[in-house]
Amino acid sequence: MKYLLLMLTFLLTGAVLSGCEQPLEGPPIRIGYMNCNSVKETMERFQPLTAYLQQQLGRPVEAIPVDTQDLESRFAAGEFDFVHGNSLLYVILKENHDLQLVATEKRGQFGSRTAGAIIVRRDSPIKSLKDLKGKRMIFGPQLAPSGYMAQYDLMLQAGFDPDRELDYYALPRGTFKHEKVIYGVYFGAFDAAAAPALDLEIMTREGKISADDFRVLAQSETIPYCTFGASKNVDSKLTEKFRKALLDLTPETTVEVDGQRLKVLDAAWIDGFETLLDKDYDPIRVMAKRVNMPPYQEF
Amino acid sequence: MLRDRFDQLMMASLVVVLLFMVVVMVGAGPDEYNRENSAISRHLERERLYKARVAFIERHFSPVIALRDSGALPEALLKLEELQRTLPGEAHIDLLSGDILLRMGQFDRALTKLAAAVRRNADYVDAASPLSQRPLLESAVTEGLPLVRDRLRSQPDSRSVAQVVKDGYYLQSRLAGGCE
Repeated sequence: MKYLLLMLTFLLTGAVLSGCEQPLEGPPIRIGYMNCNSVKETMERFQPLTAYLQQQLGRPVEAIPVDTQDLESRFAAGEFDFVHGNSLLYVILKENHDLQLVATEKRGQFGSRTAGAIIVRRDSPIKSLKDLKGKRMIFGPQLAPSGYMAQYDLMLQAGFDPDRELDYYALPRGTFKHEKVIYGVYFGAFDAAAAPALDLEIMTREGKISADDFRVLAQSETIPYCTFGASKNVDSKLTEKFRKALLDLTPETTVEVDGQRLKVLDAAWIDGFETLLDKDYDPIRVMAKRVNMPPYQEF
Repeated sequence: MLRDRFDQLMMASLVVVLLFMVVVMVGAGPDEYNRENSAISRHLERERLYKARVAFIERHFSPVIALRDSGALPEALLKLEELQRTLPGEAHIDLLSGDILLRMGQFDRALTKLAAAVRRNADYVDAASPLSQRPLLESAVTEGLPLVRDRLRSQPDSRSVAQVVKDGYYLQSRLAGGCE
């Protein structure tokens, strides 16, 4: 009888403990998230994903928002174990710091890829890239592959030098740069804009603009979208576990954040993740060389 | 048994009713004329549905088709994005997206979209249907499937590529048809 009671006690204790969350062990994993629009938005988007990764990896995970321009120096200083940034940042960190490719984000019509477009208003007299001579144009942030580099490259490929042949080109400041670029043309402040195809797609889907508002003068080939990478110092087993956790995400995956149960992918504005190969980023390398951008920039 | 007139009358009525029922049952089956008539009306019904569907597609998708045919592929995709708001889940949005993505060389996305379109509306693989899109589907499978298969060989662990390959084989199987 005594043994029976002892066994029952053990069984009950085990059952109660198994219902509790696994304790987090080890030093925190630090993820640097490139700011897309603002620090606030970045944190809101990626907090649920970070909480999910913490749950899956069984270790504390810390989300750190980073300005695109600072990402390389902070990564080089060893501030992050993993980084989430655009595909040009992946190439820069790969070439300069041997970043390991983890997974690529999927979003919109082109899935894990996106493209850069040069747009004008539908009623604009500008019909081709050559017609941009002497016109005012607005580009996205300089390290944006589909908001700056791809369009600059398209123009160079068409024998048009934006620095010399445009009257003037501007780069927007502050938050929501890609939307500002699109609205810049929509409201007539600029004759043309360098717009990411994905932002045009999303703004159209959300009803912010209409497909009839713009004409696409040219669109680049597709290039990989935002990417997760791991520092070469991270244990390969952890990187593999991290990748698996990302690939296992489905639209139904939820996580609890501040007492609210949230859908991880929905919150992060992501359709899912895919594993690409490093050679899939070669079109970015080719463009960056032609446009004379990091990591190949020469003065 | 039939002792009086009333019993005889009842029996006679019963026999008449039974005979009537037999006649009705024998005559109720579809005769040649009825069978033909119902086949014609089924055919007409189908024709009417096809016509309505074609008119629907023309009414909603002609701007997309015009953009596609003029080579304005990014604009055509944006127009579809806009239509998605008013016609969510419409198979023709998937079909045209697949068509445009194929023209843009996005084989994996094209296969996925076209497979979704066929899953929603099998008319696209039916050679006899006015909605048939077999040449488009054939070219997606012929051009796209070998590419994604090669990709799966180099990335055997990729679930996304495996899913695209599945979509490609699904289209191939729908184009091949069932047992004949």
